[in-house]
Amino acid sequence: MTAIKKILQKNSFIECLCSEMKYLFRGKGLLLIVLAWFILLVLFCMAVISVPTHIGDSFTTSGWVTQILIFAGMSIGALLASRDHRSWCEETLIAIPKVYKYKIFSRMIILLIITLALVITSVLSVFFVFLFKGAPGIYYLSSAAYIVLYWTSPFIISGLLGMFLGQVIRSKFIYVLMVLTSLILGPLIPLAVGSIALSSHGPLFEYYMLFTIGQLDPNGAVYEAYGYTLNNELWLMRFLQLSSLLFLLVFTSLKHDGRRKKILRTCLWLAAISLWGISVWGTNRVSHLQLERYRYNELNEYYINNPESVEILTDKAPAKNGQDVTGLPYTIEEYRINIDDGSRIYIKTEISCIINNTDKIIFSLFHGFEVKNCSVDGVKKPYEQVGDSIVIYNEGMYSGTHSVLMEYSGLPPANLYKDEDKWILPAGFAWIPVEHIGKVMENETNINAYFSYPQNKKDVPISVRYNGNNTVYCSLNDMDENYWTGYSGGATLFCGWFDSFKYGSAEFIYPAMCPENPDHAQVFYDRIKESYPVITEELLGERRILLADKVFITASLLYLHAEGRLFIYNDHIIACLTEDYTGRVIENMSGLDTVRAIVQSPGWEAIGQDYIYLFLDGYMESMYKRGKYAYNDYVPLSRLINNAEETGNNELADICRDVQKMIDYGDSNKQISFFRDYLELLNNGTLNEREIRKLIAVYGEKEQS
Amino acid sequence: MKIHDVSKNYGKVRALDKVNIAFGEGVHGLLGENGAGKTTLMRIITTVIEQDSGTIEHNGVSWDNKEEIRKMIGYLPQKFSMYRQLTVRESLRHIAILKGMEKGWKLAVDNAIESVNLEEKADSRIGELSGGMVRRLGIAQAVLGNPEIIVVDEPTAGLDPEERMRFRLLLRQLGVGKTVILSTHIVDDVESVCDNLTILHKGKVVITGTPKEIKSMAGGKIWKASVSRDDCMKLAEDKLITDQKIEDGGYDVRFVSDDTPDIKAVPAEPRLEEAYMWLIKR
Repeated sequence: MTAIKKILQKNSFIECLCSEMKYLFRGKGLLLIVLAWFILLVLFCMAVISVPTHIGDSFTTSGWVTQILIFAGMSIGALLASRDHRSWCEETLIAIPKVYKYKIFSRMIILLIITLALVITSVLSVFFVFLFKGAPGIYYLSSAAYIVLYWTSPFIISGLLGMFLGQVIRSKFIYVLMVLTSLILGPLIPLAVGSIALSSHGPLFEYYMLFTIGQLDPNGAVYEAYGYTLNNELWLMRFLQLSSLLFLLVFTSLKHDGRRKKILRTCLWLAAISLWGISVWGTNRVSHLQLERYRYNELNEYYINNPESVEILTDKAPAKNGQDVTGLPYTIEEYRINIDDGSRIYIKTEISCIINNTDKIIFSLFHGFEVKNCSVDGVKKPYEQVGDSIVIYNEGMYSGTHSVLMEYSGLPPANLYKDEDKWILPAGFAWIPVEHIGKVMENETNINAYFSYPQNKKDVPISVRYNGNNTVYCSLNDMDENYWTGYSGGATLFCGWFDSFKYGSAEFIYPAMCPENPDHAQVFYDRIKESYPVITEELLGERRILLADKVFITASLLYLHAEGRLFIYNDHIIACLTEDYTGRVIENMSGLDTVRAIVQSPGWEAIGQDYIYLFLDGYMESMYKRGKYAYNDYVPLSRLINNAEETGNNELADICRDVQKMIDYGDSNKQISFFRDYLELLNNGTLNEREIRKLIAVYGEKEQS
Repeated sequence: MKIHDVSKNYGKVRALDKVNIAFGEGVHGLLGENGAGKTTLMRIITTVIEQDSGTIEHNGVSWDNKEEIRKMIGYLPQKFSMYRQLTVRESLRHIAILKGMEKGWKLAVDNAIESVNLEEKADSRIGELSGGMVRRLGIAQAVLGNPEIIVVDEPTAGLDPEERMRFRLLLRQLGVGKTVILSTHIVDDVESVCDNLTILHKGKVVITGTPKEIKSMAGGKIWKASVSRDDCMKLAEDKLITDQKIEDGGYDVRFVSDDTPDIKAVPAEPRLEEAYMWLIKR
């Protein structure tokens, strides 16, 4: 103890720190701060406990905690900085060598100590609640990171800002300024003006990003792949904000050093250069950190603003959107894909294809990926990327097998959680060049994105190598670390908040934040395995066994046209649940959604939803009543009848009743034939009331009618 | 310490205008009315603020070298206190270590406490001290580290007579072998404590000298008379009355007059306050 005392007495700076600590611990203010923080933590922990499903939402909506901490930080900083002034000892201390400087530095350390106390107490409290609630493991570290980024770093930044204001402003105006500054820096601004100012995609958001220290979206949810918004840019931005304030405070601390004018000049130059650098960096780097809920518009806006981008090339192309692509002058034989990630996803795709006599090859590739280089057989070729199409010009090419290499980088759309290190690249999404179909996605509502059937028609060998540091799950076979191969129409890659487990020979990749999923996923897989051969036999005329042994479960708002949310490929399945799902949702997807996934085609787009549901609900009821599907998880046809009656659609109600009679009393084979013919009409896009009546006349129960 | 042509402006207000003063050993008083520039000069001397122009040096060390100057100065500002949560001893220990007294601070603190007669309150918190005790603590912290120059700004303002007397004695003791600069607008303080005196008026030095020299300058300019109440009122309209006492229904007055007054009056021995007023008026 004596030795420690001696060391402490040797240094004026440590003395300053000790006296600051003594002051802090003897004051009543500390007790008030501790009490207020305790109440805040209890309130937050209660909010976490009360959330039924996604614990993470308590954090993403904790803008109120951040705002309180910003106020508190700024007040504490200003009080610390003005302590000497308020104690009438400022001038005395200035007149002692180096003390003014030491005082400022020791108060920065006090602020840091308070911040560390906040981090430790909040993390421990939250971990305790997580243990109590049985939260998934993925929440622990990420929530701690969230607390540091969104709670305590705003606290220390606003604290330093408060210190700066306390140093330079001695009038009561400081209180007004602190309240205004806290509001501007905090998460209330995006809440108040979010849709107006931040959805503009303009420079306003990017410059706003330079100084905001709260949540970008105080109403946002935690996303299954994306998790919390913890982008590197935000950490860097906090670091820059912290550095700038430290720089300002160091400058302030030299105020009474006598070298002020020289330092001022140098500092002004440094500040100008730094600000210029930050601005350039900021505008270049932050543009993709748009608020999640506003980014959904991007896809819609792109297609609305660039209508010609699709039309020009589809006119030139041998096939149009949704049409058969057998007319293409090339056949894809193999894919070799290399993926790197950084601020964008960098992809090199080498395609072996047999090219018939043609001087240009057109592929479909999502417009979010910018092609940087195209070569054929190692020779660079001119190319044109317009919308979702990429044309490679290759005059004088002989017919035969060629190697086409494309290098491109970009991000998937918001619906697939675009982020630098978290992404979903499903097989149905044209993240690799696929046989040309024109527009690859649609965004019919603000939120929902639809695939345009860009899956290649033919299964080919595909190999994927990933060169990043994240954990990536791939639908192909694991060959080595981050290397997969397989024989498929496309590959699905998931990278983000996912976990996996094995069930028999199947592997399930599911959102790690939802621990209830695994149990229900197994039920789902068993049911779909049971129903798949029956459905394929009855509706497609060919009994198929479900070979897909990887199941990707995602909460992406992603659909095939006409609301399909289950994708069954030959080697894997993607089940897209909705954001508000519970574990049971996936069980229920083994019925109607499975039928849709197996038989849906582009022709359905021309058919009204009522007749699609008549088919799906009717067929499920038929299966159930014929004993081919043992689970009562379908929507009974009677509900469609009730709806039709309520809306006055008597014709539909009559048709539904006839179909129900057929299901209740009709011959099984007739029922199967009815639905098979019904499906043919759906696929042709020629289904209407008259055609259905014809089918009922053929297969229905005449004696009953 | 030599102050040469020091000027300081606050915006358009000229607080100090080419001030030239030389301070030697002993207690030096800076006398002037409120706003004369005393505190500005004190703050410049203690390096709290910088002058706009002019130079100051002490034993060859320029005021540009602030760190060195600060090692030589002990300062009691006009408004002084310390952190309310700390005790007298803790505050002085804090200041002593900040002043670089890594060794011997304990003895120095005890001596300082004793010199200002605060032994009984040594372990009391600052928040519990009276105004006079806080001023004494101010002196104690100023003398810690045995500085060559001690600057005290209005040290007796607001003190009761007993505390004021005690303070004057303390300042006299400090002036032995050191340069003590005392700023005040209380003439009695200067007269009872200072070896030398500089009168400031509107940022300019009016005069520098010993109190005796300054008093002698007003010789023949101070008059005393016994007048009626009405005459006293008339006299006040024309002359600067420096003192008046009610005496037998009339007034015994002292007043400033460059010429022989029209009323029946006799020359009086100038007091320092009267000399100060005469100089300011001039």
